[in-house]
Amino acid sequence: MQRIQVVSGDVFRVIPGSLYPALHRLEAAGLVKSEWGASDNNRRAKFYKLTVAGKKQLDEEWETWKRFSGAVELILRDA
Amino acid sequence: MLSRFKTALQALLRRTQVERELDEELRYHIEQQTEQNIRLGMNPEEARYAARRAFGGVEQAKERIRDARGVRWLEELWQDLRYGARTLMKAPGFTLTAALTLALGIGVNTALFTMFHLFDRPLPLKRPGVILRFDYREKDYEDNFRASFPEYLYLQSHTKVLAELAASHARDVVLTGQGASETPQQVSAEFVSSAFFSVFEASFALGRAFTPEETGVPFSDPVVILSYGFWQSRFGGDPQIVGRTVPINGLPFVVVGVTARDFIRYGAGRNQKPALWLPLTMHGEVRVYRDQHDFVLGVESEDET
Repeated sequence: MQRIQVVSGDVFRVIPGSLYPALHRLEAAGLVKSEWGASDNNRRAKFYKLTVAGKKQLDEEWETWKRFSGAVELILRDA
Repeated sequence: MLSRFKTALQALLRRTQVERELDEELRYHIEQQTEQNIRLGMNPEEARYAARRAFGGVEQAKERIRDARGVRWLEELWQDLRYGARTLMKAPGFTLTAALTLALGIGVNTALFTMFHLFDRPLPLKRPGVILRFDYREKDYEDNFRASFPEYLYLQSHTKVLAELAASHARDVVLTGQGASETPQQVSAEFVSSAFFSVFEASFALGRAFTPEETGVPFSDPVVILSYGFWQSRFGGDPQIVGRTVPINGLPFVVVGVTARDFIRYGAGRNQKPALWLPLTMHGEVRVYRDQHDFVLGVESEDET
């Protein structure tokens, strides 16, 4: 969450209230899997990891996005 | 689809555990945020408050998570069932009446079904084939659906499709006693053609069926076949019965066979089971008119399909 904020240069800020439902939805769809583990300060925390199906989906989304953004860019440049 | 149902069921059954884990997961997040806020300089109370606010509604998030997991429907169904049960419990009189009515209705229906199914038993033919019944509409006073003897003869000689024909005529006859010790008894009998027993796939406890010769010439073969029950009741199951003579309507008939105990006589016009069988040709009133009370059954030969 914080990473998203930082990496995107403050463009995107994810509210935790939407992050967690999203994570659970991804898990229900089988794109991520979760497991309980120990955090840095030895607290019980849930860790989410991408599954094989999730990785595949990610690649597909990535491709779709590239096509989409490329097309938008072409149109805008042409205008 | 099935796995989703399983998940939903698991969620329902382990609801407390699932809730606890959800709680823990979100709480962890808030704890982390709180600690970070403290590091940024807020005091513990403010830190926690800020953390919760940044979260944006914990309970709502929980709801959305539960939605996202797609297990709600089973939970909701369960809740609806419980509500329904509670409501029914509140009006026990109504519930009892409704339940009794349903039970009675289903029970009676089942009972009737079973009962009629007993009568409706399919013919237990061992041989694959079709039994055809020929009935002709008659204009006699009884308005019966019967075939007549001439028609039977015609069919017998002209059919290519039917492998066997059986004709039958039901009538009561009187067994007069032999000697003073035996009392006369009126029983129902059936006058049949020779193929009758093979059409009905009869087996015999003693003796045999009629031969075609015995049912070929009128009045020439005074032979009789007894039913198992009649053999037991009138003749005490005499093992020497075959070959003995019994007087029927005053005439001596020779017993040539006894049908097997489990021989089922397909329902005839009357409800009485015949006690004995006689050749059709022994019927004193076989006429060529069309007012006979015969019926003819045929069995398709296996070659014709």
